[in-house]
Amino acid sequence: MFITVDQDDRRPIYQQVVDEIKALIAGGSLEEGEQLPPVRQLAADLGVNLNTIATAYRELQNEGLITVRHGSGAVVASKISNNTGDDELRKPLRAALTQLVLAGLPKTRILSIVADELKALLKGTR
Amino acid sequence: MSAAFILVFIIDLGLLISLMALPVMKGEDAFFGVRVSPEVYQGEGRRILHRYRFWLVMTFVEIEVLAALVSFYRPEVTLARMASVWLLLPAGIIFYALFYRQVKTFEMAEEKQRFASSLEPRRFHDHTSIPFEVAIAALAVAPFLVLIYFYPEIPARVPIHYNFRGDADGWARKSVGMVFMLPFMTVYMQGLFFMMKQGLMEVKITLPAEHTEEYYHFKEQSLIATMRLMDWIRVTVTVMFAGLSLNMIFTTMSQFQFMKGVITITTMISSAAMVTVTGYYIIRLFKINHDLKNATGRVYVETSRDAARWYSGGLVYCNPDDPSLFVEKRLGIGYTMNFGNKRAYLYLAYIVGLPLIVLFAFLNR
Repeated sequence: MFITVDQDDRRPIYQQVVDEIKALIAGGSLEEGEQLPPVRQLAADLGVNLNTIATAYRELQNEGLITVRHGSGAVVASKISNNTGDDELRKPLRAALTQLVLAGLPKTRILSIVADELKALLKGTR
Repeated sequence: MSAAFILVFIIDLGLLISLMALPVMKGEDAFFGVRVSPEVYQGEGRRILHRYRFWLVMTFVEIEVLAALVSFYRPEVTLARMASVWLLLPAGIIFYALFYRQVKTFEMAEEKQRFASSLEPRRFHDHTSIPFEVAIAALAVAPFLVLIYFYPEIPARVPIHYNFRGDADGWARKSVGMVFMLPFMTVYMQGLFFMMKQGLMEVKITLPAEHTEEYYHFKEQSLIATMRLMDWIRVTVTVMFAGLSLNMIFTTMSQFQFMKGVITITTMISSAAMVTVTGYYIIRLFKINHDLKNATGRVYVETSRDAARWYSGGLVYCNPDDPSLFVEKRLGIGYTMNFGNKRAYLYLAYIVGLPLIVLFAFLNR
C-alpha cells in the first residue's frame, strides 16, 4: 500500500495525494479507523512541502473521509464521502467522457474502459 | 608477541578493511556519498578509489610498524600500542574527506525522481516477542539481585580482571562501585538496546516510485535482519556480563568454587556465538543488498531535500525538517541518526552514560 506523486502530472501534488488516498479507501485497502502517516512524515517521504500534505489532509477532512485530531494524527473516518450531490459527481465524469469521445473511441470501447477501471478500482489494484 | 598486540592488530585490520570498503558499499548510488554515473564509477572513480586505498594501506603499514617497534622496545607502555586505533581512524577520515572532494566534481545532475510512501505501519511483533523480552530482562536483573544478597559475604579483595584460563589476575578493594559495576552496566545496556529498537521501528526508508513493492520488501528484510542481529548481540552480551558479574562470588566464596569453570566456558561460548552470528548477519545484509540491486537496479535513493542535509561526505545527517530519528546510512550498511532531531541527543547522552559508570566505579574504589 503506497502513495506516489508524479512531478510530471498536471494535477497539483496535493490533489494527487488526495486522489491516491481516496483510491485506497474506495478499493478497501484503507479501512475505517486505520491510521494515516503524520503530515511531517509523509512530506519527508515524498520529498514535498509540509503544507502540500496538510492541504491534502484538509481536503480529505472536508469531504468527511478522514478525521484529523491534534496529537493522534489522521484516521480514516468513513468510506462514504459527503460530496454526494448528483451534479457534483457527474461533472468530473462528464469531463472524462468528453475526453474519450474526442479521442475518437467508439461507444462500446468507452463503456468497456469505464467497466475495466471501475472493476480495478473496487478490487483495489489501482 | 603478546595477546594484546595481536588483538589490537586485528582491530586495526578490521578498521582498515571497513575504511577501504566504505566508499563503495552502496555502489554508484553513493560512491563516496555521491551519486555518479556508471561510466564514472567504472572509469575515473576506480582510479580515485585506488589512490584512496593506496594511501590508507601505506598509513596502516606505517602505523603498524611503529606499533611493533613500541611493543618490542617499550613493552611496558601498553597504552601506546592501543593508540594505533586512534591514529588510523582520524587518518582514514581525513583521506576520505580529501578524496570525497575529488569525487564530488562527478556528481550526477539532479534528475526528476519520483518517490513513494508506505502506508503499512510496522508491527512490533515482527521484530520481537514478549516472552523473549521478559526472559532477557530477567537474565539482566538476576545477577544484580544475587550480588545484593551475597554482598556482605564477599571478601575485602575482589577480582576485576581474568586471564584466558578464567583465573583472576587483577584485583581491587571491595566497594559498591566495584561489585555492582558490571551488573549495573548489564541493566543499563538493556535500556540502550530498547531505545535503539524503539528508534529503528520508525526508521525512515525513502522509496522510489518504480519497483516500489520489491524495493520496500528488501529494505524491510534488511531491517528485520538488523533487529535479529541486535537481539543476538543483546543475548550474548547479557549472558557474558551476567556470567562475569557472578564470577565475583564464584571466585571468592569457597562454596561456589565448582562454578568457576562453568563461567569460563559460558563466556567463551557466548563470545564465539557473538562473532559467528555477527558474521552471518553481515553476510546476509550484503546478500539482501545484492538481491535488491538485481531486482530494482538501485540500492539507495533519497529526495533532493534530504540529500542536501548530509555532511562530511555523507557521514553525518542533520535535517531538522525530517521528523525521523533514524535514517538509512548513505554510506555502508545499516542506519544512522538524524542529528536534526532533538531526540538524537537524548540517545547520545545515554550512550555517554556508559563510560561514566565505569569511571564512577573506579573513582569510588
